[in-house]
Amino acid sequence: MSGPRFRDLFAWEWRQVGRSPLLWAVLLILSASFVWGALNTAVLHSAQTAALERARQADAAFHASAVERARAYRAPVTASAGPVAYWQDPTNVAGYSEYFVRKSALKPHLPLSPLAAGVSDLAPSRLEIKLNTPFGFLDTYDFENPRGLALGRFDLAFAIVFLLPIGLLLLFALLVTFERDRDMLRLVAAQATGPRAWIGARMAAILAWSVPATVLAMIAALGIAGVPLGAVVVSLAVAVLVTVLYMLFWSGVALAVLARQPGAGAALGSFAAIWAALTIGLPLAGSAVAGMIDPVPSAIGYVDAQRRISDEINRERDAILAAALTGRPDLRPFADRAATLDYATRLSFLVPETERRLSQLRIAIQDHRARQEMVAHIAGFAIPTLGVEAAFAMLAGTDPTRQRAFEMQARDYQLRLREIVHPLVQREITQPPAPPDRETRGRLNLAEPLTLPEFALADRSAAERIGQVLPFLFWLSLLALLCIAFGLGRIRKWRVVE
Amino acid sequence: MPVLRLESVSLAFNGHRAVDGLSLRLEPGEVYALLGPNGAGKTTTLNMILGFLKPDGGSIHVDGIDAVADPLAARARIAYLPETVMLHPALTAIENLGYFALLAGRKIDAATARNLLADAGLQDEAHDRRAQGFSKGMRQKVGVAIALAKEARLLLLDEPTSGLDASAANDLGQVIRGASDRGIAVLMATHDLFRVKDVARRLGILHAGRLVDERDAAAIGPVELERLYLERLAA
Repeated sequence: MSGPRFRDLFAWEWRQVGRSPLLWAVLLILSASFVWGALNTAVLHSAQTAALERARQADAAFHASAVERARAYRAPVTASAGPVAYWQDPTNVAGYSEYFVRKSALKPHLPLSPLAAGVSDLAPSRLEIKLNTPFGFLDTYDFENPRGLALGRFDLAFAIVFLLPIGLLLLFALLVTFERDRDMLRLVAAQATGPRAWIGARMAAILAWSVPATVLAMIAALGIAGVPLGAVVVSLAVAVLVTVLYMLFWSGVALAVLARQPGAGAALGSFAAIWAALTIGLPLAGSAVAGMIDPVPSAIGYVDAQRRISDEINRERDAILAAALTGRPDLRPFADRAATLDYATRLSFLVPETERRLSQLRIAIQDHRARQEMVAHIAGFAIPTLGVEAAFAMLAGTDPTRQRAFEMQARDYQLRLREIVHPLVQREITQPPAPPDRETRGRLNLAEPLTLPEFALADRSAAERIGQVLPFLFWLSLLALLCIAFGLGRIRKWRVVE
Repeated sequence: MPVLRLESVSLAFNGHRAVDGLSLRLEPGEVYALLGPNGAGKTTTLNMILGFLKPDGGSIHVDGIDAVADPLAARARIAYLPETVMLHPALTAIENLGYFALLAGRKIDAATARNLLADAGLQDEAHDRRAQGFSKGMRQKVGVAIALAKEARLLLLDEPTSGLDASAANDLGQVIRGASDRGIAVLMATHDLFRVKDVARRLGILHAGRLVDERDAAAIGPVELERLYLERLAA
């Protein structure tokens, strides 16, 4: 005489769990939250994509208007239309460099972006590039964006990382403790089934319904949100795998609690405490500790330094320009012209000097950001909730690393533009512009507005993004296995006598 | 070989000896009634036989299996009827029986399940009803069917007649006699002196964890049994 085969027990549990209204209520609510989350992010990204397209069109229109204006300024002066100031004149190379070079660096969304909002609602996906903006672009959004104080967007990643465990734990807590709370456990225990097989079969049955339903809901939600599923098969498969492993991780956690065979109340209490610790407590504590060990450089301090250095530059302007001209063999003979340079030409020397003086502070900020990313990466391994969020953002292309790469490339792009335009501007020092041609409205020392190269984001491939996620995927597998093994190890005997 | 053998079994909770040097031996087909007031150690004894509690000392063997070392194997040879049988409310009587039979390692078809429920005294019309509306007596009958379905060597009954009406208690008596006739050893913990006399072959009086008297049920009348019981408890 022996106990039941696990397969038979599982089959029975699977049928019974499938009849539970609670199961379907939880799965329905989770599915709805998945769809809502994916749509919510898709709407945001769709608006941002439209904004990027408008920016692209605006840039083209701005360039076309400069070309048109340059054409118009070649026309003879008339009584009603005299010469124009240089800052209005795209045929003046200095005016052009400061007032007519306006390009956009754009970070397009990837096809799987509705999976996770990531940093997409905090950091811009369009950066306006002007030649003389220090360090490439204005990054004041970092501390001025009011969304920085928001709780975060309700996206699919949020639904999976935060709500899915709640639903799963609720199912485990109420369905696995049912017999104890109904005083049936003695009769169950008196049969020939061990507690490990009994609890294992019940939990496996819950998972056998929940996992396929979750995967289907996830894929359906992304499909409804407009993700071209056929084009993201591998990335989507990895996201699904992360989700399944995350469910197994929480199942292991639940098993460790249910191994003590508590009632529903005690199980729910333990689950609530563990969920709060893993999703809120540990990340907050980690953030606080990281902040204490490696404080964030003050954004206000940076602005203050910018103002201070800007004032210094203004005070020392002529000396800086003279030194710059003296320092260049080709310009040295013209050092006496330093005080007479126009504003835009001065900027071509003063902005690099401003950047040089701010560079230490800037490097400190960038280094801190890099360290933060590294800490967040490591924290993702220690705290699976963070790791899963980061993995989803990586697959979706809304991760901070991609944003940082975008910003660095935007800065490089600005430097490339400077390399093209600044020599033309500074050439005017050695070859002073002829007096304005009184027969035309423009200065005409730039024949035609330049056709400057467009910004193109050098993005990592889908395979590279998946490669970034793989170490965490393996770790999560191991963690899930360890949790399940730990939980199973804790189930030693029936606990029917208090 | 005895179906159940307890040798000097003891168990203490927080310094209080719940069972103290208890020895018992049940042969196949024997019905033994363990009598005693609340707190005498009857249910604790059943819990140790079932492996839910581990004795501090002594040994327990079920059908030759050391129940302390291998409780799962021992439980496979034990059918158990608790004082209050609780069932899955959303399942029918047949489904409940099927579930517990499955947990016992048996697969039974619907016809067998109906026969077992009928043998246990549950009316036919209740077989396909959900258990959520069942009275205590009806649940007890399903519990009896669950015990019978297991075809165990030992049947443990914990206060089996508690809360049952006379008819249901009589039905239960017949079930116990039937089990005994089939060679199943029955150990019942109860304080129902009068009904137990009809079904048990031997009676043991447990007081403060000790077996203070043991008699042949046929050799003692109901009045004498009550007198003896009260004397032993007063001692």
